[in-house]
Amino acid sequence: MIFNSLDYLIFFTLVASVHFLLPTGGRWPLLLVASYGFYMAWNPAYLFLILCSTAVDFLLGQRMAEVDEPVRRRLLLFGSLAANFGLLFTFKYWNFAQANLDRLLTTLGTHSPIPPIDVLLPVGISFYTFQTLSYTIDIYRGVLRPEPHLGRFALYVAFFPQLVAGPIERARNLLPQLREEASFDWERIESGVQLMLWGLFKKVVIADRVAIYVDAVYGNVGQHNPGSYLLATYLFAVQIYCDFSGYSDIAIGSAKVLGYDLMKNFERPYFSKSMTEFWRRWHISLSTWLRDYLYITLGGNRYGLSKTYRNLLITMVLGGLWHGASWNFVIWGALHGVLLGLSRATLPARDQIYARFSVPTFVRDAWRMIATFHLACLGWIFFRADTLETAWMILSGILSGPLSAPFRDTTTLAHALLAIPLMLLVHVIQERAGSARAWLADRPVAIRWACWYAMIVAIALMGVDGGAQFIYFQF
Amino acid sequence: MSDAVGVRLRSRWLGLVVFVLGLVLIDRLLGFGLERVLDASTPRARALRLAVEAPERNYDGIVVLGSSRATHHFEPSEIAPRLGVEVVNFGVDGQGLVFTRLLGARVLRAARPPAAIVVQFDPGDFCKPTFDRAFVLAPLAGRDDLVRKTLGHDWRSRIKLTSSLYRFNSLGPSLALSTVLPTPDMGDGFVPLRGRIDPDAVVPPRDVCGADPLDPTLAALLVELLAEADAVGVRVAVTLGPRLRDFDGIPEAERRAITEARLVVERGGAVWLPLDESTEAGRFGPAYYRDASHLNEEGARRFSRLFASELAVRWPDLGRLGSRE
Repeated sequence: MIFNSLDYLIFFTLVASVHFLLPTGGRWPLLLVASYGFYMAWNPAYLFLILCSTAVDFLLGQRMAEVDEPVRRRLLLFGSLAANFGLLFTFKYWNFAQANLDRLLTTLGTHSPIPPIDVLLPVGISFYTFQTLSYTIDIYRGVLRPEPHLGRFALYVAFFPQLVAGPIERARNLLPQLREEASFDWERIESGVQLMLWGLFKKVVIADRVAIYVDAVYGNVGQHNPGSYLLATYLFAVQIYCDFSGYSDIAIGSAKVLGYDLMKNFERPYFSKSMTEFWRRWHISLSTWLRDYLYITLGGNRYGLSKTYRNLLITMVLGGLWHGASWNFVIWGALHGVLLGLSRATLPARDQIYARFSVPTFVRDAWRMIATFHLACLGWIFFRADTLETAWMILSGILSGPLSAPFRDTTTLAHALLAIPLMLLVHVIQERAGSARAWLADRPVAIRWACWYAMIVAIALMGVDGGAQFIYFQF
Repeated sequence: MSDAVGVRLRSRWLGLVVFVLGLVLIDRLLGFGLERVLDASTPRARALRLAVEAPERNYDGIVVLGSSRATHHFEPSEIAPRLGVEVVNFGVDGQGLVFTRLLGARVLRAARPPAAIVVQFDPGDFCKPTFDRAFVLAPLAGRDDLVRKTLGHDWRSRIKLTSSLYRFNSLGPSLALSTVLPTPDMGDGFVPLRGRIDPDAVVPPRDVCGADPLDPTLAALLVELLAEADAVGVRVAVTLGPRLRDFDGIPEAERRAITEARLVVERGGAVWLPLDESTEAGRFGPAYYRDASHLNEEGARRFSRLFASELAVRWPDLGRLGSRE
C-alpha cells in the first residue's frame, strides 16, 4: 500500500476516523494493528523481522536501565547493535558482500565458499533498524529512559506513517507523544491534510512525471546525446527531491492528522549555499542520525583537521552504503564525504576571494547555490545509474560536450514546465515567510480555497496515474 | 463542549461540506469544458486521436493494431501493393491488449469497416494487464460503454472514472496545445526507427508469464474482439513479430503463453501467423534491429514484405474484399 494510492486514502480515512472515536487508551492498539496491517500489505512474512527488532530492543533497553556496570551495559548495547545490524546485513548486504568476495577470490583462482541467499529486501528495514538503534543507544548514553509499555514501544517502531521510509524518528520525540492524549483538533487536521496534499502534488505531478524522461534516458544509455544526459540529470535531482520530500510530507501530514508531530526531513535543500548546508537540509532525520550516532562517536571534529576529514569520509561512505548494497552508493557517499571536506577546507580561501573582489552578497549566494546544486547533481549521476559503468558513460557524455539539443518528450516536459516553477514559487515563499501554509492562511478565504482547488485539480489532471513506488522504499 | 466551540465546529463541518460540493462542481465544469475541447479539436496524443477518429473513418483494406512493435514494424507501403488493398497502421507505443481491444471495437463500428484487422501482440500481454496504460481512452468513457466497462475493471478504476476531470488525466497540456497548434498528419501510421543495435549488446531474457500465463480476463478481451469482427464479417490475423535474442530458443514459460494464445486465436476463427523469432531468427540478424524488441527501418521493410507474402497465401482473395463498395 503506497501513499499515492486510493487504498491508502481509504485506509487512512478509516484509521483516522476510528482513532478519534476511541477513548485514549484504545488508540495505541488501533494504531499498532493498523501499522502492522499497513506493513503486511507488502509482505506479511517480514512483519516477523519488525517483531524481532521490537522485542530485542525493548528487552535490552529495559535491562540496560537496570544495570550500572559499564561493561554489562556495553554488552547489552553490543547485543542490540548485533541484532539490528545482523538483520540489516543478512537481508540487505549479504549478497553484495558475497558477490564481492567471490569476485576477489576468483582473481585468486578460487570461489567464495559462502553461497548467495535468495531473499527479497524487506521494505523499510534500513529505517526501522536505525530508529530502534537510536533508542538503545540513547538509553546507553543515559539521555533516555526505557519505555515501560511494550505496546507503545512497538508502536514507536512500527508507526505506519513513517515505518517504511522515515523520517527516522527519535524515541525522545515520538514516545512521549504516544503516551499523551491526542485530542481532536480541527486546525491540526486541516494543516496535516494540506501537507499531505502538497506531498502528493510533489510526488505524482512532479516526481512521477519527470521520472518518465529520466527513465527513458538513464534506461537507454548509449542512445542519447550529452544534452539529454544533462537534462535527465537535472530532472532526476528534481525527481528524487519531490519523490522523497513528497513522501515525507505525506508521512508528517498523516501523523499530524492523528495528533503526532514527526521531525522535519527536508528544508528546500537546493537552496543550500554549501554542501555542509545541503546536508543540514537534505534527509535531515538521516543526516542528524549519522551525525549523532556515527560522526560524533568517531570523534567528530574534536581531534584535528585530518581526523575530522577522515570522520566525514567514513560517515558519508557508510551513509552511502545505508542507501543500498551497491558500489554506486559507496561512490556517492564517498563523493559527498570528499565534497564536505573540501567545502570546509576551502571556505576561508573562498571568503577571501569574495572579499578581495568585493563580490556582492547576492551574486556570491547565487553562485554558491548554483555550484552546490551542480555538485549534488554530480552525486545524483552515481545514485541513479544502475551500474558504475552507466554512471561513467553519463558523466563522460556530459563532459565530452558539445551539449546538443536534448531529446524531446513534449508531454513530459510540458507537464514539468508547468509544475516545477509552481513548486519553486512555493519554496521562495517558504524561504521568505517560513511557511507557505501560514502565508496562505492570512489570505482571504476565496484565495485560500482557489489555491487548494487548483492543487487538487492539478493532481487529478497532471498527476501520473498508477505511478511508481517511492524511490526510498528500496532502501 | 461550550456553545462557542460547538458553533465553531459546526461552521467547520459546514465549510468542509461546501468545499467538497465546490470540488464536485469544479470537477463537472472542467470535465465538461475538456469534453468540448476534445470535440472541437484533433487530439495530439496518438492513442486518443486514433480512438476518436476510428469509428468515423471509411476503411478499404487492412488495419494493423498493436503496440510499438506494430507502429514500427508494419510498413503499409510495402504491404499494400503485395495484397492489393489499403493498409493503415494503428499501433501505439506502450499499449497492449486492453487498448487493442478498445480501439479494435471502435474500428469495427465504422460505417465501412476494414476487410481485415491484424492484431500484433506480445506474449506478456496475456499475463501483464495494461489497463492503466489504456486509461488514455478514459475521456471517451462518457460516450462509449465498452470503454467505461473495460477501463472500470476494478473498484479503483470505477472510482477514478466517476470524476469527469480525472478522465483527462495526463492529457491537459496536450489538449491545450491541440487548440492552438495544428495537429501533425499521421500519414499511414508507420513510424520508422533509425539506427542499429550494437551487435555485441547483451540482450537479457525478458520477464514473461509464469506458470499460469493466460489471464482469463485478458484472453477474454481478445475473444470478444474476434467475435465482434466475425459478426461484421471482418477477418482477423494475429501475429507477434520477431525480437532479437542472444540465446537459443524461447523460454518455456513464454513458449507456453504463445501456444495457449494461439489456441485462443484459432478457436476464435482468426488466422495465426507464426512470424516470430522461433521461425524468423535466421532472417532477422542484429543488423535489422534498432533495439532488442524493435526492428529498424530496414528490418521493418523486410518484415512487412514477409508478412504480406504470408498473408497473401492465407487470404488470396483479400484484394477483392478490400476494394468492396
